Amino acid sequence: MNDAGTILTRAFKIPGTNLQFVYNPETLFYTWVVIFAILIFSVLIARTIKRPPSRLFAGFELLYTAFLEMAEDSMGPDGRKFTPLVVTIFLFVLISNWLGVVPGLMSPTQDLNTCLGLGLLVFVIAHASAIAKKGFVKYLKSYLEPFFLFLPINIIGEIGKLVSHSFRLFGNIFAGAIIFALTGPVIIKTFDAIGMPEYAASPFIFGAYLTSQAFFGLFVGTVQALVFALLALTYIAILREA
Amino acid sequence: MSASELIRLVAFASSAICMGMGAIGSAIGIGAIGAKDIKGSSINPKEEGPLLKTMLIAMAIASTTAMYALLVALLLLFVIGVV
Repeated sequence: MNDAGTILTRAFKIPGTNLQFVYNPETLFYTWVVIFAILIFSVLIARTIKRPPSRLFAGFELLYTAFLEMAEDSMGPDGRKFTPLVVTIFLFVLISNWLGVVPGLMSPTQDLNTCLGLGLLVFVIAHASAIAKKGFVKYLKSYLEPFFLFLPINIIGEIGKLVSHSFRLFGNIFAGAIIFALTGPVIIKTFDAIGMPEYAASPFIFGAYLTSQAFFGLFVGTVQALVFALLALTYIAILREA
Repeated sequence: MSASELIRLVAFASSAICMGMGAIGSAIGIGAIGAKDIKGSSINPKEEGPLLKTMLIAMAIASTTAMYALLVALLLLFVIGVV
């Protein structure tokens, strides 16, 4: 049971130097699985552009338009530029979260490195777009709002945004993965302890097990992907305005 | 009782206390959000769909503090408790 929280890590020394190259092979592999899944999905959709639109295309258009409306609500006509980014983040996080429901597979998002990478991506894009829109001097001045004593609070607030953004996703998916790994053994051990091991395989218990998987994988995964994408949009919009 | 046993005992007990106490605040917050959502959608039943979406997002944000408690508890269990 102790291996529920561990993630496979490998490292090798770069020859000739003292540097170490650390990588997580499982996380990398499943990240590429998600990337190829999104690629195949997008190619399939792009091929079905015709009139009247197919059902798959109409569904995807509905998703895209919903995000476009939210983006235009929060930053006006500029929102059109950031919608592809937000929809891509949403699809990546959604499919990553759903991958963990299949027994034996692992979500890339249950590794903190993936979540922190996505958070850093949003962080850098938000600050770069704020500099591009307002100019460097005005961007630096926004840290002195409402007056100069607030400089440390503003800086800590920006770092806190990054940390809470990525740790929220990681915590939810990691907790779901731990619960996936623990429910099966706990059910079997409980029925062993009360002396009725044959009841552990009953349909009712199996249904409860599957329901917990569906709740923590599909429902929490969808809500967290939506929250992650919407917060990315909000962070970009706040920095561009203030 | 040896020193490492004592450390494991304290780690397990404190992770349980951490999770239990940490969940209190976000549970109150999620309850308040749900109560206000029911109030809002019963006053204005047409807005039930948009309100449900906003409610789910607000609940996910309110549960962030419980997530921090969970992370600390898991660190205590898997990093200190296993040693």
